[in-house]
Amino acid sequence: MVNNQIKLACLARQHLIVSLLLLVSSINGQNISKYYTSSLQEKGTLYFILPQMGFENSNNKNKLIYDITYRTKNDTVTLNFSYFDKLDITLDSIALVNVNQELSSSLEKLYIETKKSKWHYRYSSQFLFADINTFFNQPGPPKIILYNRQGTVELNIKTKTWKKQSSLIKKILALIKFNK
Amino acid sequence: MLKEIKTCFALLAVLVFMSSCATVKSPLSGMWYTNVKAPVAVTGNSNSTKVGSSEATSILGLVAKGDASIDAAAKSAGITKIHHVDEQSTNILVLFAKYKVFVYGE
Repeated sequence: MVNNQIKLACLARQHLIVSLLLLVSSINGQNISKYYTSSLQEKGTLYFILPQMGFENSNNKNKLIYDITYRTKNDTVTLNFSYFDKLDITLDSIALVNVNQELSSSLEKLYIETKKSKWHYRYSSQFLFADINTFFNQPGPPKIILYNRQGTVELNIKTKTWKKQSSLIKKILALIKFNK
Repeated sequence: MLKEIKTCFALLAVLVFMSSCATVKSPLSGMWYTNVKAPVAVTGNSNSTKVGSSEATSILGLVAKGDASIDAAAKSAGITKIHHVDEQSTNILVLFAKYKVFVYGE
């Protein structure tokens, strides 16, 4: 009787361990396919890197979320972003600032809405593919500066988050380059 | 008294885990893990230059929020002519579920 109970307990434990291992292996593997989509078009393949988070203002914790769209045979990458702020501002341009480079682009407004107590600013910007590729190959965490009529908004990212995010996007950009 | 409280908590836990699973719309679903992409719609428009996404999430089946509409996805990229729409469903142990919509167009 006792032996049977021990056997059952061992079996249950083994089953649990196998289940957990299978789950962890399916989640933790660096599977980049869930971070981008691709669609074959008449004029090249259209790639979309899903929204990425991590950039925020160190003072008021306002967040910026961006996504990247790129069609092969084009030189430019479209970087769309959402920025959340309590203040009523009009954004003019964006700068991606790293140790060795500063990329700037004018902004096209997509929409402005409200989200809870903040304004949700949705804008679109264009960068060269080569520049974006270099930007994500920089080791140090960069900052994003939003220029508006009232001044500037500086957004930073944690080193650990940047390492993870940049390695992921670098891999996707490399894949795009291979398929060009 | 303590036994009654424990029983209440146990019943509550059973209720949460048995009746409030985080499920997501998907053509195929796995018990442990789901990550499935599938088509939603195709139109007669010919080309795509833009992609927009929207999403909604559910935690433990208790809280579900977000806007995973085609309209929200199209608006996020400034799409006015839709070419096709895809969906992506993710579910982890029916504890956490995410539903994403991707709109392609120009």
